[in-house]
Amino acid sequence: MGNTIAMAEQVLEQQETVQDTSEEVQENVTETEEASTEEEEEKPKITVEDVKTAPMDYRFPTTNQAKHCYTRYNEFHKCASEKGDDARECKKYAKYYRSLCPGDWVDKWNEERENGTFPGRY
Amino acid sequence: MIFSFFFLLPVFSLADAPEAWQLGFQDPATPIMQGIIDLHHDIVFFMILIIVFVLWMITRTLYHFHYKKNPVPEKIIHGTTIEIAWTIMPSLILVLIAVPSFALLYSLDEVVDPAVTIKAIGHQWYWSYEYSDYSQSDDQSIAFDSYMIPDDDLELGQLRLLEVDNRMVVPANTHLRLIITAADVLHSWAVPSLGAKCDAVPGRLNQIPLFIKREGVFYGQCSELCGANHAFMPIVVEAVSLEDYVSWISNKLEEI
Repeated sequence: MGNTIAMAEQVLEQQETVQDTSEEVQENVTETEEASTEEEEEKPKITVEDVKTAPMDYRFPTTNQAKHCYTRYNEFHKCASEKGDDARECKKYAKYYRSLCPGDWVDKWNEERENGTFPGRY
Repeated sequence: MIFSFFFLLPVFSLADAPEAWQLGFQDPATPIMQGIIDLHHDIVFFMILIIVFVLWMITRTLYHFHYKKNPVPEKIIHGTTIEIAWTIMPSLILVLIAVPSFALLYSLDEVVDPAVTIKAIGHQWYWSYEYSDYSQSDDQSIAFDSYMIPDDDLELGQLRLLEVDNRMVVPANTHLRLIITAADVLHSWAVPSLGAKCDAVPGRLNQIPLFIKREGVFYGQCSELCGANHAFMPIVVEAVSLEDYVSWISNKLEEI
């Protein structure tokens, strides 16, 4: 059992590193694209390559993904508090929790964070 | 000659919405629905064999043990062999049915790494959808409500009690993740052609995978009694090509 968990974690890490590199590459590409088209239009156009979302996470194999959403939200704020609000490596967590969490939930949590009543650590 | 071609048209068009007096399934558009239909047909095949066998036994018994033919009642009250046989056989049949049934059941919630996440949120009494994969900030996601079109506003060819003002648009032949939840009471997001039915529970985010194999418009209804207008909050899924989906998303993003 412990073995399988370790393996799953390994796989997860590998996936994340792969994703990190691909995202970085893509960000570079989009950055150059943006630089060239910035004057023409404000909003970057969505292309087929942008069609991607939060990956399946081995920590949350169940139908109920509420914990998945909450964990990603907290992971983002942990990352942001450690590496600064605009840190590049935190962006993916923000993307993940936005993909998974209903807007109402995020609004509620953001409000609680502002009031200092959010139960999470960060 | 040309008219005969038009006559054939309905035969080739696929049914992704219920028809009057319909008895069978709607046409499948996902591997899941295909699996469900296949399993149903397999089980019905064995069910018919069993029904014929049982009816045959009952008829024989009634005929041979008729009081006129058989005035002296039988005194046999048990036979171990036959009792073992008629206990073991049905349980074996049940086990045989369980094997493909469980295989299908577990394949239903197997989430492959999806390319799109869509959130469907049940309200009293409408569905709202959120596409947040492309937002750069918390208040930037594509969100819209999907209300039923009332009878008076229907246009020719639109389906009564099934049409909505804003359809959920998804790419076909793409792995989708659907996150289903509710904002007030229990609802259930169900589309028969897609083999999808998932309870929407407040505080819970139920995830189902979807892989729609063809483009089309698929109709469904709320399937958990949720109040007075439970019957009037239909679901419409429009599956389009990936390119069309991307341009739809771009348009929606510009509207924000």
